[in-house]
Amino acid sequence: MKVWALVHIVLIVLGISVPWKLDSNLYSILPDFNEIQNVSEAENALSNRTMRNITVLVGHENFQVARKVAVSLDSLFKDDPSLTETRLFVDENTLGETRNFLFDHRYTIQGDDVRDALSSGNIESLKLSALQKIYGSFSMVNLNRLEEDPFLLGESSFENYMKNSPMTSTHFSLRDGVLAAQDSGATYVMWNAVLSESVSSMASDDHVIGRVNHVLDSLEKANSGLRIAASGAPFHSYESSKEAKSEIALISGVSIFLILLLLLYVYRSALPIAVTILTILLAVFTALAFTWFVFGNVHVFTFVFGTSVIGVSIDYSVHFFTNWKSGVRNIRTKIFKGLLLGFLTTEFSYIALTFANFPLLRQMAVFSIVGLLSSFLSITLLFHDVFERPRNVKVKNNSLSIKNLPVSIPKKFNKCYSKLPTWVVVLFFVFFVIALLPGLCSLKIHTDLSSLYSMSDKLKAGETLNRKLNNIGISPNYFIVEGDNEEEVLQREEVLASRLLRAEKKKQLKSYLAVSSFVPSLETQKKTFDDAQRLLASRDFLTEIGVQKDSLFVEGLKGGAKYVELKSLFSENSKMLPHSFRSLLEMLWIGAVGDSQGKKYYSAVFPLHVTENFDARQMAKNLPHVYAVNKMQNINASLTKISRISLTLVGLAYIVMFIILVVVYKFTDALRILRAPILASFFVASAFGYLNMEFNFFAIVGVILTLGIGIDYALFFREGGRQKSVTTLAIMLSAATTLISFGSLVCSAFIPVKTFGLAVLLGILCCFLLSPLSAKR
Amino acid sequence: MSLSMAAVFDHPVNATSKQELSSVLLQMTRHDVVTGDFKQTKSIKKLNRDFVSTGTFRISKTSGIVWKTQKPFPSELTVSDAGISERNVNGQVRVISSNDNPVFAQFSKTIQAVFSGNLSELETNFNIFCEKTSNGYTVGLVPREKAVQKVIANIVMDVSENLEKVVITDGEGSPVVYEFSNQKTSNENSAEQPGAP
Repeated sequence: MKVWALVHIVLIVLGISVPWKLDSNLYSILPDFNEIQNVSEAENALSNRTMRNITVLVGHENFQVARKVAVSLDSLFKDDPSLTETRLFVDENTLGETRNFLFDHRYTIQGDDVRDALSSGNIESLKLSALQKIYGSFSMVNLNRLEEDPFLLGESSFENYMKNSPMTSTHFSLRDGVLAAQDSGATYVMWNAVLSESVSSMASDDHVIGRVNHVLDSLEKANSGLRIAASGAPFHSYESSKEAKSEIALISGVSIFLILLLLLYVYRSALPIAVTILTILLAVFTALAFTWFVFGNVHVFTFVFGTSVIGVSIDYSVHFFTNWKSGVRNIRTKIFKGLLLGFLTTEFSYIALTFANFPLLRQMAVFSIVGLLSSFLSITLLFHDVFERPRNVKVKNNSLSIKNLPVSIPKKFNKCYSKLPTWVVVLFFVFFVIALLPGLCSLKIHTDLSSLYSMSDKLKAGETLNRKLNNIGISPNYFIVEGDNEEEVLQREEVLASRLLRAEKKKQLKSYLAVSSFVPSLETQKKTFDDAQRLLASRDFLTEIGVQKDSLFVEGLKGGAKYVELKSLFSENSKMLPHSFRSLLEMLWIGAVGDSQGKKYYSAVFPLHVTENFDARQMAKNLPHVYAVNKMQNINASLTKISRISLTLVGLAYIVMFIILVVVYKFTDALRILRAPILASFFVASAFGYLNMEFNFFAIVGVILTLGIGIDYALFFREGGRQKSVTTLAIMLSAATTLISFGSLVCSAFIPVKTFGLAVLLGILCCFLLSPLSAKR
Repeated sequence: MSLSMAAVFDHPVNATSKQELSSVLLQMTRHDVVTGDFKQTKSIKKLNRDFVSTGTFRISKTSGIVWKTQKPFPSELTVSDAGISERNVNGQVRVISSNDNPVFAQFSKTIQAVFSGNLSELETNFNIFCEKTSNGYTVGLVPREKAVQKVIANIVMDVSENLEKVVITDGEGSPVVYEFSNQKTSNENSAEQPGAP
C-alpha cells in the first residue's frame, strides 16, 4: 500500500507543480518541423477569424420578398451580443471613398503596370492611357480633377484596386441597397455576420447559431417559396456538436447501462463496480498530471484516446473481482503472472511509440504508460491489501438457469474448444489466413479527414450555392508570409507576388489576394513616388489636353509623399482608411504573433481559381519565410504517417514481447499467445479491405488497442488454463465490457468514431474467439 | 443638360406611356444591325472644357456593340455578352471576359440595353421616365441604386425612328453627349463587317 501511495503521490505532485493547459490545435499533432511550428500560431489566428464568419442567402422568385426577409433577419440580429457585426446594406459611399483615398495616394499606391512605366521612364504609355480614358467611349472616368492629375493616375490606382478586389468576381450586384444575385429562378440577398470571440463552437441551449436556425425556419414557414442557404464554419460546428451531444449521451448511456447491468448480474454487488470506476478515475488523473509535467500541455486527442486505453485496465479489475467473487484465496498470486505479462506487453507497445517523431504519439504513449501503471499498481498492491480476506462462497450447480449462467456459460465455452482435435485447429488457421489475403491485398492505408466528415444535405447545398455566387475561388493551398516587422512581411509578399504574377500569365491561377496588392511596402511606395517625379518633365502634356495651369499638378508631386503604413493601419487614427480597404486588410493581415521576445508579423496570400498545374510548394520554394499551407493536406499526410509509424513501432514491440514470451513459455507457446492478437489485427485490416473502407488513422488506433488488449486474453487463457471457468468468465466479462463500450461506437453517425468502433469491435471479437486456442492443449 | 431634356424627369413612365415607348423602341430595334457615325462630347464643367471625339459604331442584336473612335486618338471598344475588349492606338488589346468579371458583365449588359432599347433590362437597373416630343420620344433613366447614381446621375435618350442622341451625366453633373448620324440599318445576314459602317 505504501508503494502504491508513494508512486501516485510523486506522479500527481509532479503534475500539479506545473500550469495545466489543454491543447486542441490540430497542428500540434504534426511532426516537429520548425517551419510548420513557426506558422502554426499565425495560421490558427487566421483560422479563428475566418471560422467565425457566417453567410445566409435569402432567396425568392420575387426579389422584394427576399429583401424583406433579409431585412427582418438583420433587424433581429444586428444588436445581438453574440455577433460582433452583421452586414446587409451596402454603404453607397464605399466606392467613392475608395476612389478618393486612392486619388490622394496616387503617387505611392499603384499597380505593376504604372509602376513599371514610371520606373522605366515610359511616360508615353501613361500619356496614351490617359488620352484613351479622356477621349474613349463609355469610360466613367472622373475628368474633373485633370488639373491635379493629368495622367489620371488616381483612376489607374482605382482600376488596380478593382482588378485585385474579390468583389469584381462575385455574381452579387447592388440592388435596392443590398447585394443580390440570381440563381435557378430566384434572387438571393446576402446577409453576413461575424460571431464574437466569446461564442463557443459547441452547441448549447441559447447558442446564437441555434437562434439563427430557429429564425430561418420560422421565416421559411411564414414566406411560401422562400429559399434559405446558410454557410460558414459555425453552422457546421453547431450541427456536428449538437448531434454529437445527443449521440454521445445516447451511446454512452446505453453502453454504461448494459455494462453495469452485466457486472451487477455477475457480481451481485455494487462494490466491485464502484472500486473499478475509482481505479480508472485515479489512473486517468495520474496519467494526466504526469503527462502535463512532461509535455507542459495535454492534447485533446491524447486525452480521448489515452482515456480509452486506460479504460482497458478495467480488465485487470474484472479478473481480480471475478476471482474474489468466486471465493478464490490469495488472488494476487494466482493472477499475478498473467497480469504482469499482460501489463508488460501493453507497456512495451507504448514504450515503442515514445520513439516516434510525433509529439502527439509520444504524448499518447506516456499518458497510457502512466495510466496503465497506476491501474496495475492499484490492483496488485491496493486491492491485495483491501480485498484479500477469506470469503465464504456457496458452490453452485451447473444447471443452465439464468442465475447460474456466469458459471455454466464459461464451462460450455471451454468444452467447445477442448473438444476440437488438433488437425481441425490447424486446418482452421490455414483457411483463416488464406481468407484474409484478398482483403489485405486491397487494403488502402490512407487518412483523408475530408472524407470522414459528411455534412447535411441542406448545409451542403448552402455551401455550394454560396461558393457559386460569391465565386471568389479561394483554394485550399495558400501562403503565410512571416517577417520581423510589417515592412519585412510586405517586401516578402511582393517577391511572392511576382512569382504569382508569372504563374497567372501561365494560366495556373486567375488572380491572388495579398495585402501588398492594396498597400505596397514602404520601399515600393517610396520608389513609386521617386519615379513619379519624372512626370514633371512631361508638363507639356497638360497643354496637349487643354489644361492651362500646371500649379496643382506640380504641387501634388512636390508637396511630399503620402505613404500608407501598415503599422498605423489598425490603430484608432486609421479611420481615414476606406471601409472596403479595411475589410480586405482585416481578412489578409494576421498581424503580430508570439510574445514580446519572439514576436513576428504574418500575413496570408490567397491564390484564386487555381488550376491543377498550380504547385504552391514550388511557388514558395527558396523563398525564406514564405510558407505554402494546406492545412487539410498536412494533417492527412501526418495522420497517415503517424498510422504507419505506430504500426511499425508496435510491430517492433511485439518482437520484443515475443522474445520475452519465448524465455517464459518456450517458442511454440509464445507463438500461440501472440497468434490471437496478430491474426485479429490482420482480420480487422482484411475486413476493411473487403469492405473497401480506408484503413485510416482511426482504424489503426483501433488495431493498436486490439493488439494491446488482445494479448491479455491469450495470456490469461494460457495462465488460467482453458479448464478454469473463473478465468474464462473473467475474460468473457472483459471482452463483453470492451465490446459493449467500444463496439457501441459503430452506431455513431461520426465516421471517425464509427471507424474506430468498428476496428475495435472486429479485433476484440476475433481475438476473444481465437484466444482460447492459446491455452495448453 | 438642356432644360427640355431635364423636363423628361417630370414624367415617370406609366402604363400608357410604357406601351407607347415599347412600340417606339421595338420600331427602333426592328433591324438586326444599325451602323453609323458618332460624335462624343465630354464637357468638364470645372475646366470649362469639352473633349470631342468622333468615329463609327455598329450595334448588332447578336454580336453586341463595336465603337471605333477615329479622332483625335484611334481606339476600339467592343461590348458584347462575352465581355468587353479594348484596343488602343498601338494595337494592344485588353479583354475582360464576362465569365471572369460579373461586374463588367453587368456593365456590358446595361450599355447594350441602352443602345438596343431593351426596356425590360433597363427597368431592372433604372427608374424610367419618358416624354413625347415632336420627333418621337425623350427617355430618361435614373439608376435605382444610390451608389450607382454617384457615378451616373442619369441618362437621357432621344429616340425617333433611330436613336438620335444619348446624354450620360456623371455624379458631378458633367455630361457626355453622344450624337449619331448617317445611320443605316440592315439584317444580320446582309450586314457589313463589324465596325465598318
